[in-house]
Amino acid sequence: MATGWLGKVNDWLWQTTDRKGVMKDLADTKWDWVRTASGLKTVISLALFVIFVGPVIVWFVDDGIGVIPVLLVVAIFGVWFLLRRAVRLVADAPDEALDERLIGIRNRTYLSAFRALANVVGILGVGFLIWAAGSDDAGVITATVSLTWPQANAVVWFLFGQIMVWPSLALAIAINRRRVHL
Amino acid sequence: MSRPSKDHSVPVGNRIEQARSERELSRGELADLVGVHYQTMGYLERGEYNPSLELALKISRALDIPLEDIFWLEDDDSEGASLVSREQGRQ
Repeated sequence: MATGWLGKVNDWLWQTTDRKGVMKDLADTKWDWVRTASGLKTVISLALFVIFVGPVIVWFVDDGIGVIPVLLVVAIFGVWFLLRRAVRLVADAPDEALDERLIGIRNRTYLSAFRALANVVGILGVGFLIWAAGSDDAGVITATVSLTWPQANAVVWFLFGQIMVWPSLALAIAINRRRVHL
Repeated sequence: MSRPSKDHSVPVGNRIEQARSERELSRGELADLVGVHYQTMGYLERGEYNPSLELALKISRALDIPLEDIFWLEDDDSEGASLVSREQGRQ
């Protein structure tokens, strides 16, 4: 559905599967354990833990050699993989891989995912502003941001995790609440 | 993710499954003919998903049955209902 260079860039970044991959996953039974009620709940809980608690751990724990941020990135990719299996790749699929019912599901998923992401980033942004706010000697309000390496990693990987995981996570939550059936 | 509002929607009935069986087509075969996934055909047959006009016409063509003989509004007074809808649309 690419229109213009921006559309092509978006397709390249976000359509991380194709018709063959979706057809395979729609018929897949190997990963059915993540699609059961308990499996889905587990994966959703794990994903929420990784994208919300993981960065907090990175923020506060400085192991000196940067292993913890790497573990967080690995965990983000891990839950992203499991979530994609749970939602049969539908959230990341291009139009040509889906039919009209699944396109509708994917599009509503993106609305929910955007709202969730906007809420999280909005709250984080305001919190960051309050955290950074101060005043100079003349009483003028200033914002000073000084981050340690682990803290910078925490912020970057927090945003990365949120952006990457929310589309499939939103669909997994909708399936778990029985609002959507694939 | 909230469900689409169904407050004003009229249930749509269909006889896809019956017509498909009469033509000895499997669900998968009909799904392939009209270009949807197998699961979607199940939702269509059970009336849990209403097709777009394009998909409805494809189903009609694949089954070789006029559209109005496959899909119908579940309220009997469909002509009256459509008149009311048109009147409401003008307001």
